[in-house]
Amino acid sequence: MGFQTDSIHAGQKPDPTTGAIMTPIFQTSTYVQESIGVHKGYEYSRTQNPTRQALEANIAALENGKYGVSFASGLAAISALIQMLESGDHVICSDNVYGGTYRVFETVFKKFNVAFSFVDTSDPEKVRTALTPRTKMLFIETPTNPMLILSDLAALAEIARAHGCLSVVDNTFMSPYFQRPLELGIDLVVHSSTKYLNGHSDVVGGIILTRDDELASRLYYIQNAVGAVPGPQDCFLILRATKTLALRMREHEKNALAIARYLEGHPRVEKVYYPGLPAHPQHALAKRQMSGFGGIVSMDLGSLEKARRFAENVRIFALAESLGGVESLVDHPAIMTHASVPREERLRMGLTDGLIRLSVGVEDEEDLIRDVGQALEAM
Amino acid sequence: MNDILEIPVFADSQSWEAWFRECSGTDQAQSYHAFKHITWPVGPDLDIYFYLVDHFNEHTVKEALSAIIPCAPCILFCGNHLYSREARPLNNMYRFYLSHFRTPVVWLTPEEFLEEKEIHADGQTEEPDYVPLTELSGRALKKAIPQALELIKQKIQKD
Repeated sequence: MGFQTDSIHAGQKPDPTTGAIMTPIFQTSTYVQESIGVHKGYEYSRTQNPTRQALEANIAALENGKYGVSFASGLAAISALIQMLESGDHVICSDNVYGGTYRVFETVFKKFNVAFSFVDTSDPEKVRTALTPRTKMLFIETPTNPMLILSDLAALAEIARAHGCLSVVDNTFMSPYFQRPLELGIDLVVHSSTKYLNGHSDVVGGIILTRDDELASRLYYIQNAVGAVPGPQDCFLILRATKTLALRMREHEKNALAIARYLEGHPRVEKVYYPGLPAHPQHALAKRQMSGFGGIVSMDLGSLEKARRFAENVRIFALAESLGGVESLVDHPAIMTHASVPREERLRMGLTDGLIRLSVGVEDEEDLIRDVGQALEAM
Repeated sequence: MNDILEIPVFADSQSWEAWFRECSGTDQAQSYHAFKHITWPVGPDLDIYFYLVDHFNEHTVKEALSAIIPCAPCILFCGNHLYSREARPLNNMYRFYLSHFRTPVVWLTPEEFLEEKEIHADGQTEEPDYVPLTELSGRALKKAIPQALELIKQKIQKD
């Protein structure tokens, strides 16, 4: 099936009792059993819920995976991945990773004697250098948030496989519409489904996808044992949203590319980061491993004061954390989403106080460009 | 599952690899990008992983060992000489290490050098803790490494 067909139908069938075309919201915590141990496959909603299962099957199909395991947030999903490891294990993680990922690794899991090396995964040699006998996971974010640096997934999957460690990709920024890491040999894909998968800024969620039976079994165990499951209404909303994922992603990309081109020629913008621009140092890799460039554009305005004035003067773009919704958002990573990353570390990654991240929505392209233009003039 | 102690090792010649293998009772050293890995099965529940750093490239050391060093019980510097301000690779690496990491260091060296040791007045703050080797061999290392770990344990208890 094609991507759009799968996005509308995969994991779903009309409700057998009523014929309802939409998967019902099974808003129940428990299920009546006919006799002790005799039931219809559902005992308790932390363990199984039909709405959740429909969502998991749907996104698994979109990522060209076999299994989906959903969670109450993207960070709950990332935590489940680390909960697969043992005390003493070592994880290599992209150094320019989402601030929340950095925080949970450094301040929560480090206490449980899991070691993390934050490495520039855009250079496979640096990943090789960081491997130790205890390295059990390679955690990659590509493109990174907010610097939009890419890592070569096929090369890194090969390094991980040769070393016998798991490869994981946070695919939140591209969504399965533009990038499918499992097809490139990656073991596990994780999403904050809060972002493009849901796309309407009204749900917090996370999901892990894999093709591997054994990994899926371990993750379902953690999902049930730890219990950070999403509620059925949230699952329904994400399931509804994935039906329009392809349509939204095309529009996000069209607008983002137009804005990136506009910013590239603007005298008040010091630097633009967007993998769809030929000037992006990894444009060739972007074209090779992704089928589009996504809806996030970052730019450096040169100072905190200029960034503040820009953020205060946009009218359509809203100043808010998060990304991937239909509405355009502006974020100041150094103070908002990446405040938990030490300043020295941030600057090393190029994440300056003047950096602004735009999550370009699906409003009219001309309106968005006009809005960005007038905010730059008002700086 | 065995407990594992990971100990990075900086040595001033390739001969040390043979002595660490002899100490660990193994013919094998697994090659990694930045170091060679030798496993010493100390007891039924404990292995020591020695990581013998191949090249004293500061950047590579940071990338390869930054996650390991903070968890290591100590770092071993193995020199066929005492530490000094002289510009030798092991001395330079030792100074680089002190300026970037805090995990305690033990410097292993033949005992005859220690008998002649004079503490330089200007070098006292960076003077390492020495553990003497009766000879340059795996057998001597096998005795010296538990001494090194004990020395660090006592230092930590005192602090």
